[in-house]
Amino acid sequence: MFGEDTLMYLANVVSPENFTAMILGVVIGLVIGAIPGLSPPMAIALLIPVSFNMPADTALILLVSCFAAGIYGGSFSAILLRAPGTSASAASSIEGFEMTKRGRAIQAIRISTFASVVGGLISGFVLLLLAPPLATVSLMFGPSEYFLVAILGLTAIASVAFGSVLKGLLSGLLGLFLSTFGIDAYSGFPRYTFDIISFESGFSILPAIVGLFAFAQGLELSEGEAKSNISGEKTLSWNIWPRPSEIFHVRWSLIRGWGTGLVMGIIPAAGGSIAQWVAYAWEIRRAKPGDQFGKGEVKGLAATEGSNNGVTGTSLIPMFVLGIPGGISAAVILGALMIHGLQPGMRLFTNKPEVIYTIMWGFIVANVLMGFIAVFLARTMAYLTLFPRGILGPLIIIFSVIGTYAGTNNVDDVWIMMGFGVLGYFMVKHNYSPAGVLLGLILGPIAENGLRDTLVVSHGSPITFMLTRPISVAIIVLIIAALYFSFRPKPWEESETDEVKEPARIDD
Amino acid sequence: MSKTKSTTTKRQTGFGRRQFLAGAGAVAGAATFTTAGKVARAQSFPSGPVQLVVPFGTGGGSDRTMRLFAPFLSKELGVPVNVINISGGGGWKAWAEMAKWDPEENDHIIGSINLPHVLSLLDPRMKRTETLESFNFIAWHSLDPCIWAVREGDERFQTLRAFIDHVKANPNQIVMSTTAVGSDDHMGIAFAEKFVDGFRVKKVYANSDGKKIQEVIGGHTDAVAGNVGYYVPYMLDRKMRAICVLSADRSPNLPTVPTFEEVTGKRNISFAGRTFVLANGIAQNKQDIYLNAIKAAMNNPEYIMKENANRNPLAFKEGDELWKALREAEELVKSVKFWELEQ
Repeated sequence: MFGEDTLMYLANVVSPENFTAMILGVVIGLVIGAIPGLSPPMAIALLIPVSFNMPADTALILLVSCFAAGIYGGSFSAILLRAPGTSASAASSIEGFEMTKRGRAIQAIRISTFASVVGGLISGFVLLLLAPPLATVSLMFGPSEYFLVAILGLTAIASVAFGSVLKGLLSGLLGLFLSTFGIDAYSGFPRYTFDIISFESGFSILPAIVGLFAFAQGLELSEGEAKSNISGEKTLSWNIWPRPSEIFHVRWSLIRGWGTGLVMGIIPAAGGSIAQWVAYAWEIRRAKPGDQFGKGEVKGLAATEGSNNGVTGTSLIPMFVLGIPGGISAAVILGALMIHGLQPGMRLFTNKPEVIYTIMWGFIVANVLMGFIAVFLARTMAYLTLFPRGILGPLIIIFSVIGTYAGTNNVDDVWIMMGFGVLGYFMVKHNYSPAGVLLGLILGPIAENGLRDTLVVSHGSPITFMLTRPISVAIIVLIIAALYFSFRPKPWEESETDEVKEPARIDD
Repeated sequence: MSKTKSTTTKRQTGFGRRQFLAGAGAVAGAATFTTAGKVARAQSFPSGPVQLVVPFGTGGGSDRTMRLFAPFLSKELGVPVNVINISGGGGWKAWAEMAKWDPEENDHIIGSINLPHVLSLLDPRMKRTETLESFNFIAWHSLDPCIWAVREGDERFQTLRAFIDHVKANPNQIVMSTTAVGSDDHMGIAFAEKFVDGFRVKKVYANSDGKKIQEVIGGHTDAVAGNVGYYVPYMLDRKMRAICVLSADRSPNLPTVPTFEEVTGKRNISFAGRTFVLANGIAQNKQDIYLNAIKAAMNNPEYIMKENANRNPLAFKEGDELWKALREAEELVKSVKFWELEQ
């Protein structure tokens, strides 16, 4: 598959119009991704009318650049403000913001940029080289696999609860319960809608994330000394390029994060939102004495940031090869392909290789470009961490409201967002887990539909059915392993009463 | 809606507070720049930007279609046309507002309504107060008939007749992928179960075509109910094979595929459609301006070419023809009464 001809298309990417489109896509993606409530699909949708009047390869490069950068842009606000701009960066807000609070914001951005850029690059090369064979793997995922993948994702709740497993599980249950609101696809019955129109479609993920994290954070910042800032620092470091030593320190976490992202990306529709949590929980379960998970552990951030961009390239595989869009962003990119007369599918690779490979190279180059632009944008945005709380708190609240409203033009969603915000605020105060609620909310529908679909396709014998399917069995093994490692006693934790040493490394 | 703003402001903005907030966000700003440059001429009406309401979120099928259409409509109206997404309640957040639009205040706004989605108003569980008459439908935009398809290479189902015979011989053993209860895809299956003796299948429900396609191509289900436009590419790619079309006549895209009625004698007609509405009671001259602009935009060869590539079958209808199609869709839903079906 990979030969001189594939490489040849790289030259097309750097033509002036394609390169300009790429810069435009990256900048729009980064900015919109960074604003809580505005999501990559929204950025991509806004580019539809523009892109439809461009040549196919330029249009598609614009869209895929915007997609990659949007996922990464969400990490800025997650790390710096604990206000994730996209659902893909929610997990990064935990360790990332804790690092910011400890004055290590720039280090967090360095790691995040490295993890995201390299993750996106690897994912892009996998897309370029292995798309057709991997697409057959994504077809193997059926109802039972979706159900089990959702359960695997839910096991992360135990890990992200940080000590209070009971409270973590309660948070997860609340999320699962809230995910049942809305019209039931199997019967058309309105569940828990109380005759409120906006409840009929269930709770959207975006208002929930903005509420649970960003709005709650705005409320929390509105407490305390108005003139103090988040990081406690007065100046920002200029060391924006990652150092070999700090990369070496988190190398295994990065590799695990990238790997998780690459694999999960192949699962259409479910992979992107689950990968970061699976990768994060994996790190927590492997914690060694001295690791500071939940208190700004850089390994956790490396894994979540690696996984959410590791997903990006592979998540486009089912779309390019099979015409199956895994999410809204992929659906828009698919629509753009079709508008330009390109039918997705294997024929695209044989009939129009110049277009498809130019787009894939565009995605790869966009990831590199994204790294350069992002690091300066993030450095600028990091000044927010020096802002007095008295200004920053209200600012986050305002952006949360505007962002949520701009997405749906539905005032009810603003109320829903605020409801989640108040919930998130009190949960943090009382050591419950907003991440648990979010996981329940995201994974609830995947698990519910997966289980009900499995009951149908297995004609009522789901367990026998699952045990005859290799991928299902593999996921069951992973679930058992995840649960074992989550709850096994860790000898060092018993003697952990005295102060754990701050990991001795990188100082800014 | 707030009454604090002057009528003039409202007339221009349509939504008052809504518009202000949306304008403050990046969306309206970015949407404006796409069409603002294309204003061809000035006329007395519309006097300013027109909003085109999509009842679903950004990036979905309806959103993509309307964003594709907006520049062409803008050219005809002579003012920018901005796509506004009002999402929630499976479209009803926007539709409930459309039914209440004021003919004076909301005369710079066009709504889009999806069929059969809006016919969930017939479902007594939803307790809707609206009827089809609550909306001022002015034009039909697109109509994509339903099809049933199977995996390419599945030797069991060479024809619809073979499929139906197999289902009758093995009741509740064949699994079909479909969109949620109440959708056009589901309605076609429900009609068959109600009116074809002994036809009983199991259903797996989805909220997206991606899931359905993955299930049937991946061999997880036996057949899929979808729409011609969306599924033709998979036929061309030899991933799927259509066994019937749920329309009165064969589809020009699939001339060899019989209609459901041809094979069974039962008139099973189901489709996904999009229509345009204006405020009830809007002045006739204003309505004419919008209708003519929509008609002209839909006849623009460049637009037709793009929608052909997009595989979204355009089907302009107005007046009696429009209402006849609406009534037919309503009758189908009433005959199936999907809310009474047992699960």
